[in-house]
Amino acid sequence: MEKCLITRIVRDSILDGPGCRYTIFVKGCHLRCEWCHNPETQSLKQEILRYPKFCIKCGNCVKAIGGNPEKDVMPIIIDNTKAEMYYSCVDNCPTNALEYAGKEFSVSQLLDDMQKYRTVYNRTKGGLTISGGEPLLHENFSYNLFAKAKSAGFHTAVDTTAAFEWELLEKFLPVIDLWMIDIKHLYDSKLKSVLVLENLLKLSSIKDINIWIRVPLIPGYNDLDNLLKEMAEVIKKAGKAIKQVSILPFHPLGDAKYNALCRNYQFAKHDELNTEILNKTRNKFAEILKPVEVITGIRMIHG
Amino acid sequence: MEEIITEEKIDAQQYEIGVTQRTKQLKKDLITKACYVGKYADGIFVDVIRAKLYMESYKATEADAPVMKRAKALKYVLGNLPISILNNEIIVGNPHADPHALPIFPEINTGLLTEAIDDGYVRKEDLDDANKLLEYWDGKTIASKVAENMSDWIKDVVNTSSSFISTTWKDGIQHCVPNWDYLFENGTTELKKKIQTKLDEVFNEIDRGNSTKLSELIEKRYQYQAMIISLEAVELFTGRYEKLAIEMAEKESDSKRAQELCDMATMLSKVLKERPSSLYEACQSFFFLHLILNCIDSAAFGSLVRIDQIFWTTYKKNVIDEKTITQKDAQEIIETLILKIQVLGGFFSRKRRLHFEGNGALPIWSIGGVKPDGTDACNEMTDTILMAARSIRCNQPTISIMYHKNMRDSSLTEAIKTIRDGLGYPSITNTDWMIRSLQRQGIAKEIARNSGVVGCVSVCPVDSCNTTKRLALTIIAVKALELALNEGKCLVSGKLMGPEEIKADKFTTYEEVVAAFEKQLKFSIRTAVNVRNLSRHYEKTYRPNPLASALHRSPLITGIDAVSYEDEPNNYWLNMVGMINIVNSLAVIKKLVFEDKKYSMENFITAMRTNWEGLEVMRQEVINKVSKFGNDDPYTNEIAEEVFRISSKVAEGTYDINGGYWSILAQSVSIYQATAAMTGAMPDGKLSGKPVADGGISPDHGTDNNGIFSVLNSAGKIDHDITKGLLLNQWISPEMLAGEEGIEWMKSILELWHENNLSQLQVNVVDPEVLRDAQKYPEKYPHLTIRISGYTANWVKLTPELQEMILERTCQNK
Repeated sequence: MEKCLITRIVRDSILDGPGCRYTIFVKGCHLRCEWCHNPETQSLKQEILRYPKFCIKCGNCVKAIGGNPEKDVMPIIIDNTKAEMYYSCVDNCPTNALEYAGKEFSVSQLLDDMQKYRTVYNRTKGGLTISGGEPLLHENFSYNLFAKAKSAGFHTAVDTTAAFEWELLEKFLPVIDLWMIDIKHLYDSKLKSVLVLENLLKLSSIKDINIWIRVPLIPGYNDLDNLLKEMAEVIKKAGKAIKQVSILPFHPLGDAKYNALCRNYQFAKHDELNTEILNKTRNKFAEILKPVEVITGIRMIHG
Repeated sequence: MEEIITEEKIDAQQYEIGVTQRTKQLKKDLITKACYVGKYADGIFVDVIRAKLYMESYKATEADAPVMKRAKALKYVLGNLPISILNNEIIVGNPHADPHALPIFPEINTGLLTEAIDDGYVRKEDLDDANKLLEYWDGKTIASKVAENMSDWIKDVVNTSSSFISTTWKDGIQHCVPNWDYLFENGTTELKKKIQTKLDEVFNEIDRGNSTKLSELIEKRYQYQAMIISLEAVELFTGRYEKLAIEMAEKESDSKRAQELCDMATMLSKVLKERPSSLYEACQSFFFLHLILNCIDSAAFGSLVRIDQIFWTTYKKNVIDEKTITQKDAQEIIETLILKIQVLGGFFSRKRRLHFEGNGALPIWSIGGVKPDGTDACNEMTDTILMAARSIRCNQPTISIMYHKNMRDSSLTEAIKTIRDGLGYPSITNTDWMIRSLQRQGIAKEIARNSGVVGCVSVCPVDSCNTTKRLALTIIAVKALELALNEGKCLVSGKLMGPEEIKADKFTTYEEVVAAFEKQLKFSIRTAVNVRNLSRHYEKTYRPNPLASALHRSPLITGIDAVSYEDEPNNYWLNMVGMINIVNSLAVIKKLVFEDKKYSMENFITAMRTNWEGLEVMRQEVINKVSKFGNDDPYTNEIAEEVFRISSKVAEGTYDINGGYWSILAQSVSIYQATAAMTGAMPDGKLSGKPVADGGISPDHGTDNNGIFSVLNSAGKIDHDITKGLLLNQWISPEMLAGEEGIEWMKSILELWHENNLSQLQVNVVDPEVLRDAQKYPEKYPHLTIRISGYTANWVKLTPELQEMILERTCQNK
């Protein structure tokens, strides 16, 4: 049975698609957006999160790998490029000072869990959302989960970068009811902007497709008037397939997770984007994209 | 991509208070009787006038039967109590002329008056009278009579016990309501006639010289006469208000107010005497009796009323059929009624002032539900009551909406909006569970359908005398496990508090641990019930309630006082506190001692006795590495099911003095805070000096990690039908309920909750950030209300300790 590392399951999300969603966050993404607020979903491998504030200095983690509790820093500093070396530290930690970033789940485990709350998803016309990380990077797992959920009668939605060869996206067409796609830039080769836009236009030509666009507004990256205007115009080309556009303001809350991964966050010192700029951008998008609904949202950090 | 929240923020400051200028002003002028940090607000004092009048009457009626004494005392008090009509009021009535005064009832519990004197709540000029009252009632109260019956050991266990709250039996009856349908149908004029007919029959029989039944006939004669006197007392009281309104109208210079007072006098001339002809009159009738029964005749709270049902006839007539008033007018009347109830309060003991922080009294209104034929009972009155509650923002009365799947959509929507506004109510009661649970007690379906909520959680048919003898006991259930693991000795006092037990390291199986717990629980429940039964015996003898009797069907038919009438299933419950700590502790022991063998029983006894000192690694492991209740884990779900099944079995093995059994119920109000000083360290990691998990079956602070759906599914594994109700508290951020999607989302949660056959749900929707901000800037949030297991309190007025505790609890979707 197909398994995947999941960083988090939200059973009552109302923000990852229409209605109430069973949202899972898969671990692993092929892009490395510098502002990413879920850094623990980037690596495909298991990682360890380190929270010093929960540490009771028992020394178990240090002792587990033959260190010296008298001298070594506690909780032990984790090098997540070699996370497997530290598994015994996590296993011996009595608190949550050290914890695994992901937990493995199988398709059937998740489906069974989701079935328990079917009442809610049915009533709110909600369903399953795979987010992440990048769902399509876990081709078999995501495909199977979507296919089985759909045949069980659940609405399905994906939260994707769409930065893949068209053939992969095409494979998923029959099992996905709603595509939620990030449009971050038009010219960023590292983030495969051109490919994403090509895919968006191809997707939009499919009959009866539903697409939601999400535009993260990132200071110093894409918050340029001309660029944003151009982005809106490109999105407009996708026409009636676009059901909703939301502008997501940058926030610095991801920093806590970078700390936990023992990584630096380049955007840590940036403030939360101010509402004025956000609303201005929203209005600009709304004007160009009329009659498509353009909303703004504040990204919240989880747990 | 993670969560996005819309910009729609709910700000406590934005609320527009009051639907009209009048209610806005009345809200501003409101005098609160709530106590905060154990104290009443400045200017609040205990007035002994009611108690003094009551005593004078008792002195003058010493030769009378108890029921006659009670009736005559009521008439004397209602005839002589100073009265007043305050500015802007349209609904009138006060326990005292001065709205700052609190009534006191030394005839029930002299200890309270002593405390009131010691704490400076009795005015200097009243001290003489107060001392005379103490002298007169000494040895005559129920509490002192109960104590006469106890052995020294039991007296010691009762007085120092931390297995149950031993004061409950000193306070007497806690709720007293008429059968409103019966009263509104007849009015006091008709009721008096009916009673007179019965009285005449009794006299006839006595005349016929039926010697074998003579004692019984004499009792009945007293009873019926007392019932008539009580109704006359009520008419006397309303008549005095009518006269006062006329006098004030004559003197009033403002012509508009003069007209209002004239209209009021007209209404008062008929009020309660006959079937109410307007919503205004119905509300005034309601308030007068609520006041007399709960704040003048006795100190009680007055629950069990299907308020939207009793007002529906007049609402429909006035607003819909005759259109003599608008919906807004109706809402204004309801708002003034709410304000009248908000201002009522009682004088509570020091302990209670701390435990029941933030509230004056605990009346609860039931709305929604089904009609006796099973169809939806919601109507425009239901919606208007909720709109009034949202608009006037008071913390009492609280409201419970009786949910079912075919509810009028607008009523459910209004209810969710009220929750969203952060009022902390309505709580939600599952109508289908209520009917099943009552049917299990032998109540017919049609009668079970016409039921409402009493106290915070329990349900009871409207047509029964049960509230006049409501019996509740608080059992600190978690103590039973403490005693079981500590040879029967209390960890706090060191005393033997139950049957002796072998040392816990001799337990060789998990089942032995459970059996020891059951043995201790049996003892503490039996002891508590014995004491309560003793007080029940004396209540029947010395504190009959002729007024309540006149307002119910059965006493008229049988001639038996409502307090003594037993020919209906009882409404007795044991409020079990700390159940979830028991579940979690047993899960820890089962897993770590008997399955993984990682720790021994000895380790856990040491942990409990030393309050986990030097055992922090073990404690953290216990907290973090063993799954706790609320995460839909079959392991803990099964233990929870077992613990509640055992407790229910133990409870139902104890009986009241008429052979009816006691049932369990779980909700801890803010008694859970008091458990901090009463309970020791527990195997689930609880420290001595820390409170148990709050709410009946809510997961312990911070131990539910999978969100509200998992909590609902876990709770669903406990059989709610064998209980009198298990309260589940949940916190939801207000943004989860924003917009239409939010309302729909909540409706779907309720469906899942209902599907799990749960009994009561209480949703708090306060953003922790707002709470923090309100801690810092209380002036910004004067109306911020939160709910603590069954009652609501003003957040900014709570103690910092209580605030911290609430903040610690898991906030879903934070």
